[in-house]
Amino acid sequence: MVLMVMSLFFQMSKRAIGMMFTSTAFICWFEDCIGERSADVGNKLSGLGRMLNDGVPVPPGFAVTRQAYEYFLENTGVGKQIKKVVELSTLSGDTRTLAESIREQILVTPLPSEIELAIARAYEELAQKTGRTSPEVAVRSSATAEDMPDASFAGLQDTFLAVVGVHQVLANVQRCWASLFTERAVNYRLNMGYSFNEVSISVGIQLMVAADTAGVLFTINPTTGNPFEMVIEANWGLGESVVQGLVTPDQYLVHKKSLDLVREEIGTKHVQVVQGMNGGTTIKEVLPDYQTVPCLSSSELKLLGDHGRSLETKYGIPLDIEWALSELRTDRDPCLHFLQVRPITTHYMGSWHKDPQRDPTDHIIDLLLSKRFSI
Amino acid sequence: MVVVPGFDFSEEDLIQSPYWFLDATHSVPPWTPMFGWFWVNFCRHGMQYGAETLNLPTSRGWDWRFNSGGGYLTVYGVSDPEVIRRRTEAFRVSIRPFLENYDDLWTGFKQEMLGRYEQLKAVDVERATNGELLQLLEATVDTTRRMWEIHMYMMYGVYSVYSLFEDLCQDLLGIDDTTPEFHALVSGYDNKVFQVDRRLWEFSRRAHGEGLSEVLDQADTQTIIRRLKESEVGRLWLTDFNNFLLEDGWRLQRMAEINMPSWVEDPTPALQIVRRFLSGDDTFQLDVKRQELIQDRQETLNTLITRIPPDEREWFNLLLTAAQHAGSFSEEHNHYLDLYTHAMIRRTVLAIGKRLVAAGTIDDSEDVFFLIPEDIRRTMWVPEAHRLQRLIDERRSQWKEWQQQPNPPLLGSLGIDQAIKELVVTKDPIALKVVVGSMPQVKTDVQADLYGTCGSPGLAEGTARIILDESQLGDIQPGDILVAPTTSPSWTSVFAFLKGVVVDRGASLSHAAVVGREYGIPVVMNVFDGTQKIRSGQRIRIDGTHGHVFILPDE
Repeated sequence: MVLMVMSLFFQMSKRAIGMMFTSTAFICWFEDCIGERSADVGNKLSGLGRMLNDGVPVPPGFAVTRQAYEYFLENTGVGKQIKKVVELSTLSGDTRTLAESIREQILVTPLPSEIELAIARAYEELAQKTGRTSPEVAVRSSATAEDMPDASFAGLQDTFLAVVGVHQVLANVQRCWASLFTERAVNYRLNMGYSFNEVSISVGIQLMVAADTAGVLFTINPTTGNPFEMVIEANWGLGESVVQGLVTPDQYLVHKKSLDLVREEIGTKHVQVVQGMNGGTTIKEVLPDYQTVPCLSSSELKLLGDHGRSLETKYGIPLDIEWALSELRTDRDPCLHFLQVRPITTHYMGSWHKDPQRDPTDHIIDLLLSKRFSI
Repeated sequence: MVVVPGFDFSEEDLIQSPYWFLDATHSVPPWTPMFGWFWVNFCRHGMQYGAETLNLPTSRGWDWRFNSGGGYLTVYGVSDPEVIRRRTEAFRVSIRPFLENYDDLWTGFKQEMLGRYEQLKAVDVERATNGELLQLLEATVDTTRRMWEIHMYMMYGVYSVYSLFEDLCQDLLGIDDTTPEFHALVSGYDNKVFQVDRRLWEFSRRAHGEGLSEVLDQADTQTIIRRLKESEVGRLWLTDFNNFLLEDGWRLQRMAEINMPSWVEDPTPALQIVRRFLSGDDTFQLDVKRQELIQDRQETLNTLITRIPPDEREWFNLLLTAAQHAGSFSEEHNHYLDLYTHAMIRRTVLAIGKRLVAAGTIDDSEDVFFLIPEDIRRTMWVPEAHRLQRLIDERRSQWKEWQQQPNPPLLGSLGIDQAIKELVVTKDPIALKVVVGSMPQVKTDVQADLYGTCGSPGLAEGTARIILDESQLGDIQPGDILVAPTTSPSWTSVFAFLKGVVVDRGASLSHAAVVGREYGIPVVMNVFDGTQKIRSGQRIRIDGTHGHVFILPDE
C-alpha cells in the first residue's frame, strides 16, 4: 500500500513543477467560485458560489484555493519532505506513521509570506464587508478531485468553527491542509482508488452564523431513497450537534410537492453546540422546557422545504444541505442561511448496478433472474 | 357427478399437491358447468403453456380443478437445480420480446385473435347445419385454447417485468403502490376499453347534435329502438350504433361467466352509458384527465430520474417502459381476450342450445350452460334421438346448491400460511401478484371498518352504492362510492360519475385500480367482504392510499 502512495506522490510533484502562481490565484471570493474556478476550490465551495449567484442566502466568505496549498508544498520544501517520509515509510508499511509525519510537516512549516498576506488581506476585507472588527468565521476544508465530480470526501476533512482573528485563521488553514492526511482520509483514498496527484485541497473562510436553530435538510428521504419526500433534522444552536450526532434531533418528513408535513418525530434534545466565549464551540445543556418541543415552526419548515426543493431543481441532483436560522430571527424575517450544500452521493444502485459493458436488456434479464426467481 | 371430466376435484389430487386455492376473483359466485369446463380445461392449459414457452425458471404453471362451481388452483414448482439451470438459459432468450418488442408482440396477438373471432362470427348460426354447428363448437374450443395460451404467455411476461419494476421502486426509490407517485408513473395511458367508452361518448354527442337526445333518454331499450326507427337520422344512428356493437360489443356482463347476455344481444348497458353521457358536457372527461396524468407522470419522472445515475438510465427507462405496458395490457387483454372469447363461447353454445330445443333434446336454450361439450359432441349429430333434460335438471339443482354454500378458500391438508409458503417458493409471477401480493394488513391503530390494499390513491367521502352486477349500474348517482365484488371493462364509463370505489377482490393491476387511476379517484382493493359489511346509502370514507374504509355513523 505504501509503495502505491509513494508512486502517486511522485506523479503529483512532477505536475506541480510546471505550475505558475500569482497571489490573486490564492484567494477566490465565494461569489466567484463558479465556472472555471470551480476546480480551484472543490465541490463544497463551488456549491456555495453557485448558491450565492442563484440568490440563495449564504453567509459571505472566501476560498483559499488549491493553488495556495500546492504553492505551499512546492515553495517551502514540504512537498519534498513528504516525499522523503513516504520513502522511509515504505520500509515499515505503516500508514499511521506516514500520515502522522506528513501532518506534522504541514503544521510546523511557516506559511510563505505571499500566502499569509493574501489571506490576511481577504480576512480584513471580510471584516469591512460585514462591519465587524474581527469577525468569527468557520474554516472548512474542501477537497478537490479532478474529473471526479461525484467523489464524496464528505467528513474526511476537518471544519473549525468560530475562529477569530487573522492568526487563528492562518493556523486553521494549515490544520485543514493537514487534515487531508489523517490516517482515515489516506486509507479512504487508497481504498477508493483515488491517486494522490488527483486530490488537492481548498479551504473556505465563511462568516459564522450565530444559529438559534440549525440542522440538515435532505432533498430526498435518505433512509428509503424516496425522492418525493424531504427530511429535515434540527436542533437548537449550531448545526454541529446534528451533523455529529450528539443528540437525537427533531426529524420532519415533508412531502416535496405539497410541502405538507407528513410525519414529525420530536427528539430529546439534551444538549446543543454554541459558540464559546473566546472563539471555538462548546457543548451546552438545553433548558429542560426546550428539550422536547419542536425547534421549527410549520412556516419555517415550509420555507426550508421550499428552498431545498428549488435548489435541487437547479442542481438536478438530490442534495444534503446544512442550514441555520440565526438568533436574530423574527416572525417576519427568519434569517435563514445556507452554510453548505453537497450532492447526496449515496444513491448507489447496490445490486441493481449495471456493469458498463453489459447490454441493457441483458442487465434487466439478469435482474429478473436474481430478484424475481432468486437465481 | 362428473362436471369437468378429468378435472373434478378428488382426494387423489392431494397426492399431486397438498394445497388448492379457490379463485375467488373469478369463480365466486360459482360457475355453470359449461363455463367451468372451458375455464378449467384451457386456463389451466394456457398457464402451463405460458410457463413452458417462457421457460420460467422455477414455475411450470398452475394446475386447476373444479369443485362445486369453484375453480381451484395450485402451482407446480421446479426444484431440480439442473432443470432450473436449463430453464434459466432458455428464459434469457424467451423473455426478450417483452423488453425489446412489446408492441409488435401484443399487436400480433391481437390481430391473430381478431382474425379468429371474425372466422367464428362468419358462421351464420341460424342457417348452419348441425354438423357445421358442431364444427363451430370445435373451432370455438380451439379459439379458447389459443386465447388462453396467448393470455398466460403474455401475462407471465408482463407481470414478471412489472413486478421487477415494483421491486426496484421499493428498493431504490422507497415508493410502492401505496405511494401516489408510484401510480403517477404508470398512469395516463389510453387503451381499447377507454376507446370503446370514447365511441359511446361520440354517439351521445352525435345524438345531441341530431336532436335525438330526448329519444335516447329512456329507460326502456325497446322504446328507444322503436323511436329511433321513426326518423331517418334515428335509423342511421341506430345502424351505425349496431355496427359499432358488432365490432366492439362482444363483452359479457360478468368477467368470467357466460350466462348473461353480451351487448350485441342486449344493448341496454351500452345505451345507458350513451344516455348518461348525454347529461354530461361537451368534453370527454378522460381526454382532459389524461392530459393532466401525462403531465403529472412527466413531472414525477423528472424528479425520479435524479435518483438514477446517468449511466444507469438507459436500462432504467427500458424497464420503466416495459412496466408501463402492464396497466394497459391488463385492460386490453380483458377486451381482446377473455371477454371477447367468452362472448364467442356464449354465441356458439346458445346457437347449439336453440337447435337442441328445436330437436326436443332440451327444454330451454339457456339450459345449454348446464351441459359440457362432451354432451354436445355425443348428441349433436342426431339430437332428436337424445333427451338431456334430466341431466340438466340434476346439474342445475346442484348449481343452485353451490350458490347456497360458499366454497372453502383452500382445499387440502395445509393451513393457509403453509400453503402460501408453498406457493411463494415457486416464485410464480402471477401467483405472487394475484394470490400472495395483495393481502390487506389489519392496523389496529387505524380502526377502519375494512382493510384493503391501494388500487388508486386519494381520499373520498360519499354515499356507498352496492352494485353486484352490470344490470344494477343504472342505480348509481353522481358522487356515489361504488362498492362491488369486482368490476369489469363494461363498467368503465360509470367511473366518470364516482367519487371512489371499493372492491372485494383484486390487486393493483385489476380493472378497478387501473381505471380508478385514470379517472384520478381513490380505489380500495381486496377488502374481501365490502359488499356484505357495507349497505347501499350508508356514508363511507375511503383512503385509497392506505386501503382503509370507514363506515360513518348516520347523521
